[in-house]
Amino acid sequence: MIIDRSHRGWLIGSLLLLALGGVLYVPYVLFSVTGVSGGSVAGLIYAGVGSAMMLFAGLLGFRRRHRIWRIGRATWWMRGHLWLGFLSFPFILFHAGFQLGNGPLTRVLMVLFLVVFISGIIGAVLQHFMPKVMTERVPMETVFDQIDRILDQLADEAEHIVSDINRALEQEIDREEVAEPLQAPGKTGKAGLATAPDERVSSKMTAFFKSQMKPYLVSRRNRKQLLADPVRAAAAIQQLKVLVPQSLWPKFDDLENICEEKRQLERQRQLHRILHGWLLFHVPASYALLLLGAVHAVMALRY
Amino acid sequence: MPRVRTTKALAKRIDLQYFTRLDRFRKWRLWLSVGLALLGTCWVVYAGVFRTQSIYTKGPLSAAHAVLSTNCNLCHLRTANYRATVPDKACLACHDGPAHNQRQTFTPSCISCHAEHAGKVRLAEVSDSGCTECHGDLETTNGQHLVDPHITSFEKKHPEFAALRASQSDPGTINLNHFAHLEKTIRGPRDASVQMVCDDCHRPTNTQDPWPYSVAAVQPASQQPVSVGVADSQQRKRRSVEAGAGAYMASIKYVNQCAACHLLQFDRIIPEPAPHDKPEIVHGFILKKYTEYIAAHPEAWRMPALAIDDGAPPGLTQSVLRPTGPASVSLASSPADWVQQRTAEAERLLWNKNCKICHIQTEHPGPGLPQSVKAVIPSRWLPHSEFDHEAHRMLSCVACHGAIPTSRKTSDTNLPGIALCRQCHKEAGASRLAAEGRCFECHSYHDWRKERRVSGVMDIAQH
Amino acid sequence: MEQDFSATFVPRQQIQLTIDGKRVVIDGARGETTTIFEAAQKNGIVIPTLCHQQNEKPVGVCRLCVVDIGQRVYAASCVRLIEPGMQVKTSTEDIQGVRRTLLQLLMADHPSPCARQKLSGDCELERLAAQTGLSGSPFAPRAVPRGQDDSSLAISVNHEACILCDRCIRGCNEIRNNFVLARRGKGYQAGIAFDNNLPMGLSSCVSCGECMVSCPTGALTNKKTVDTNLGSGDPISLGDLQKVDVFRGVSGTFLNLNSNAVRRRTYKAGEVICKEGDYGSTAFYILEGKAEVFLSSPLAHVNTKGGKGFFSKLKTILEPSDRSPSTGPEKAYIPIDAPVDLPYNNRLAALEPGDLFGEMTCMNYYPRSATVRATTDCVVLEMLRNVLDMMRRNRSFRARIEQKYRQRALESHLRGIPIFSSVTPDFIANLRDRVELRQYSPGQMICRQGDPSHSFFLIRIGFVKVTETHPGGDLVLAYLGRGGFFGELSLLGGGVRTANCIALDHVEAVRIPVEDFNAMLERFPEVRRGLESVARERTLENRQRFMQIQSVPVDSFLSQGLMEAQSLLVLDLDKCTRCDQCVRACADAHDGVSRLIRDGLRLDHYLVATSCRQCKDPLCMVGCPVGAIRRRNSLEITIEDWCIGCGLCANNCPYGNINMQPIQVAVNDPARPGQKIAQVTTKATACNLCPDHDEPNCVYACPHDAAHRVNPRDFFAQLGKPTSKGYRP
Repeated sequence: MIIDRSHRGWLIGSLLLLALGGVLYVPYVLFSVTGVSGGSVAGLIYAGVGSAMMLFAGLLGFRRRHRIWRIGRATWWMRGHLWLGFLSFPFILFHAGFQLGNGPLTRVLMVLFLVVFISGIIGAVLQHFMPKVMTERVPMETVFDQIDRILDQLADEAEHIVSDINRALEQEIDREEVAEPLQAPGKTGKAGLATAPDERVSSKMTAFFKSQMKPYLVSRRNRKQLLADPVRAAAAIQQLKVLVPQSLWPKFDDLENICEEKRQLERQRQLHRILHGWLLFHVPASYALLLLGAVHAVMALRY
Repeated sequence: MPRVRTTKALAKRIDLQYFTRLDRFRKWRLWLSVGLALLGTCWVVYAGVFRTQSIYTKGPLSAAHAVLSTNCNLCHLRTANYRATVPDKACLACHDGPAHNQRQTFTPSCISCHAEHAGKVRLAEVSDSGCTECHGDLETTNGQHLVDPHITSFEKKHPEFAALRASQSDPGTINLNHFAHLEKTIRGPRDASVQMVCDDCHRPTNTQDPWPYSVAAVQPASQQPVSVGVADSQQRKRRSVEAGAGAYMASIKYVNQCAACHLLQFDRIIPEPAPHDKPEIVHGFILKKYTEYIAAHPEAWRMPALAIDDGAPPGLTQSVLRPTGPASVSLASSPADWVQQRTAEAERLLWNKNCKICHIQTEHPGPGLPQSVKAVIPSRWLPHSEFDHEAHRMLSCVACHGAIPTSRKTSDTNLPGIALCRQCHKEAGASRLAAEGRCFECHSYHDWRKERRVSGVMDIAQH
Repeated sequence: MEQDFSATFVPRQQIQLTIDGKRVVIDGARGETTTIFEAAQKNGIVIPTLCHQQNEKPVGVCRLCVVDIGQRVYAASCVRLIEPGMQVKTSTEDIQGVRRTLLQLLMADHPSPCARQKLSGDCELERLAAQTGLSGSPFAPRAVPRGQDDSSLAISVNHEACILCDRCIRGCNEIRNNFVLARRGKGYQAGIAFDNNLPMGLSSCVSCGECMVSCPTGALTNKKTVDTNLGSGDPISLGDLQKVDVFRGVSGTFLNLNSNAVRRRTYKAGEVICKEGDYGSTAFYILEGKAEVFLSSPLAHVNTKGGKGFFSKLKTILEPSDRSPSTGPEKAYIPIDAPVDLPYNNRLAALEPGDLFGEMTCMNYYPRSATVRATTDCVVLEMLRNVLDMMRRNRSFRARIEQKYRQRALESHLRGIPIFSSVTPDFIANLRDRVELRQYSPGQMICRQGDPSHSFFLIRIGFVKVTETHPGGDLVLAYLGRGGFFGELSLLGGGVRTANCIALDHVEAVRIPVEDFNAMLERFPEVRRGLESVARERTLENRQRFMQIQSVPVDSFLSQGLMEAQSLLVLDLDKCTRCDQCVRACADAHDGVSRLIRDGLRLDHYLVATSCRQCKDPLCMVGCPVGAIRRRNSLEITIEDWCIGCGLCANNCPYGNINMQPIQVAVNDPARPGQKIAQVTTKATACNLCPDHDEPNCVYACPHDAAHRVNPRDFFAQLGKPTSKGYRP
């Protein structure tokens, strides 16, 4: 979610709420007998408000699971999650009196909260520019979950192209062989030379495909491979290209394009992980937070 | 031929059911969520199973209660079905917290002022708002106020000390001119010139050093003077443990501070001074002494006596300290008559001069024993709070009692006013690089005069 | 005095021959081949056939159509081309005897009455036999039975009734391109086979029904009637359908299979039959009564010329207004989807029994072009596209349509072209009879840039795309609809086509040969002048357009076919976090099957997702055998329940927006009657914009406000608008 002008309402509302909370906090601090405490009346009100916000933020998971229920647009829920989730932190800080948890449970809760809060902010910040980076740097983007499948398809496609090339080369050889009898006997040597390079090229192509291209396309850890570097890949393909007749050169461009697609897809994987990695902290920590928060609420009210 | 990249070709590459499967990322997210939540649950369950409620603690206990940290149930008693707050009776099991005042409109619970689980703080250090909650706008059960009903803070809205209010004066009934005593040179014991200092008369109650101007200074053979504490009649509002022995100054007693200079010799021929006691006893003593003298000197009654000085101004003159004998020369007719005459003359001197210097006498109708107003020298000037001289021992006496060197009248109240105290005592003292200025520094909520001892009931295993 | 114009026309290459003593003249236009059968048919002489189907390549296996051309052997008239001076006898005694023997041979093995004869009474073999007066056959039936094949869900195969005419094979291969059927075996073992002689139900047969429709006998019959539901109207029985003259010649099996796709509807006088602007998918054929057709909406035509945005520029190119003939008020006609066009100043015309209207709506799913109201009580037949498609293959039907067009619309079309406005009515009358109505299928190239040109075209129905090939790609010059014309520039210019003309949908065009055209120009010099000025204008326009286009990157937009779309699902890639919520929401709403794929081509920073675009010209609907994919009354394309899963629409959609999904259904268990068994059947799925909600589920579920369903023209036009900070990217 990109925070833009359309969030104005939420921003103003949140600021007002925060200001209200802050303004009421000052006299609370000044006039409390036993100091700010989560269990005081004001502390409990802050806790209630903060918890309500946290619960709403947590309900985003529920909303995402029931996507088609008409309980409010997903965009609205997301905005609520962002703003109310953000607000819950100062309110819980008010509740805690700006202490970072002095007992084991409260300390754990604060740590979890910080993890959730900071990871959430990181996520929100990432969402402002990472999609654009992905759009720009991965023109051949596809669905992330299907990258492996598509890489297999790329490998197949490359294999077909290579076999096409080889077949075309064989035809060349055949043609040469057919043309051979027409030449003067003294030129057989030359004809002989002419066939050999094509065969060698064919085997080179196959070797190239088997040893470089297929492993590159199919593997994951590939930063050090030859084809991972566009310049070296272009050079390698160029070397093979010059050995074949010009009519086959577009196929080599296709091969290079396939390598480029693989590179882009790997880049997409990387970027996607960056864009989504923070969720691996945010979501588990938030579940634990809500669970332990409930325990805390129950137990603290008890004592 | 260039690679085909149309929408249809791109779409055909995708497996249409890809989103029904959990990919690695979602799997990790799921398992991490489940794992972390499970971990939290196990922790809580473990605590529940092993009955360690300590994970729910709000913070460490104060140093005094730290030994109870492992046993929450000692304080957190089950009040209702579910709640386990700390009721007053939990505190009262070990402590006594006597009521503050008969006329307060409500009694707050212990925990509303004394907050535990705040780490190493002194629980008695309650914030001002605990006090100003009531004293900011005081209400009493009968509507009458004995103290200022609007006290909000020491620095800003605290009344001047009662003793120093305009209508007040020193209630002391023993005349004293501090200025006269503190002059550069005055005649001290045995005619020596002395410069008196505060310490010669005013020392904390726990002092063991001998008084310089006590009876012993002129009569070494006499008994050691008594060092007395604050009289029991003085009101004591702070807990006995805390009120240090050096809080107040020792009471002023004639035998300790005055006897060396203010002699009660009444006749040159009788070397012992009169005892500093009731007039009847003095009378009996004089009679006895003269009787003994005549018994020892049977012909003395016929000889003319030296005059005893009289008519000396009530100011300080040496002649007052050294009576020279009866002034009028009149012959006695008999030894008994001589005793009578001598006695009357000596008493006249004493009643009208020596005693009168310090004691305020009620109307003395004539011959007969004088009546003095009961001697009152207040030892404690601030009845609603506790002052500890020991805590202020780094200051010189005149730093606070600056009016003393120029104080000539007995009625002068030479106490420093609240303004002087405010110079050092500010609210939230230490954090403002000042002395503590909160209510509890001087005042106590609990009326410790009514303290009852609470016997402990805990067992070792229970702690 | 009526002038005889025939002499002014340069006689075209003609072939003259004699059939049964009648002199027959066939225009031998270049590239055209006419068989004896066709020549006879054109002149009303009927030669019986069995293996010849009108829309398939003739193969001459049944030999029923043999004729005597004076050679040693009889020639099969369906394959034999005419030659000048041929003397053809179609039904000498000998030939009749031959035919009788053939029929007797065939009837010997025929399980008379076969299923088709029983069902619809039109088994072609039995009918021919009955016509010839045969009853029974002197020949012994075959000893070894050929068997039945009931494995297919839709089609029942009775090899006993098969006459090995190969019509089914040709239908499967040529028409449907499925290549499932073929011949197997030799001699008496010969028969038709599916794939490698698999049972039909286990083969790659997609149950499209073409073989069954092509079969002349009861060898291939339908097992069930397609459960089409047209909603309103009364069903019409098979017998009644066959009585309707336009359905004559249409396979009874087909009619039986699709009898639900035709409904009889009655209207009282004054009732509205269809309203202009409504979306629909049916055509109407008036059986009884009269109706009037008119345009009720006021004439107001907003041209968005000169827009500043990039896509607004495209809009100006695509508006056909400057090409269509309806610019001049007095003599202009408004082309509508009916046998007759509406005059501009009095937009009203009459329809009579035998008129077919709604063709464009039915075939191409364009909105209804006019309002039709019954003037008297009317009985009409409402039919879906598959039925109309079948009828259009019927030559007699086409001939009738053509005739009506010639009579009622051609003149107005011709007159509608400003350059022809000054031509005399006699000229028009003559011209009318010499023009040829030609059909083109979607995507077919009518004429190619650079080819020598010899005809001028006038569009009766359908849309034609006019493009210019450049090194960088094809540049679209115009889209022409009914009443549009093209080809005049090349006729004037030098005889080479200056642009490509491609049929976008089912196009029928009137073709005026160059000879007639030139003669016309010579006769009417002012016509030439008018035409030349138009030609100059057009050339200038094209050049201007070219300059305009060069400044904007039009290729990607057009090459993705985005101008066809009426609704695109765009994902703003700058906001999209690739979370797949849209896809999952769609799947949640549709039984776990997603109708959108989050991949496709990009435009700027938007991804055009692979999801139905509700194209103006839905290529997916071309050829649906059961008319299941259609527009009902609104924008969205719906696939009805009775989809038979043949996959043609998925193939046709150029963007891959339709997918075939396996769905479990409960069908009656053949083994245990009365009980149901689960069966996996394939159905086509495509996005239908979630009409039950005001927002599609995918858009509703996107948490980042990145998914939008937009009208491409408006949406992208906004993109191109300049703002105070310069062009918005």
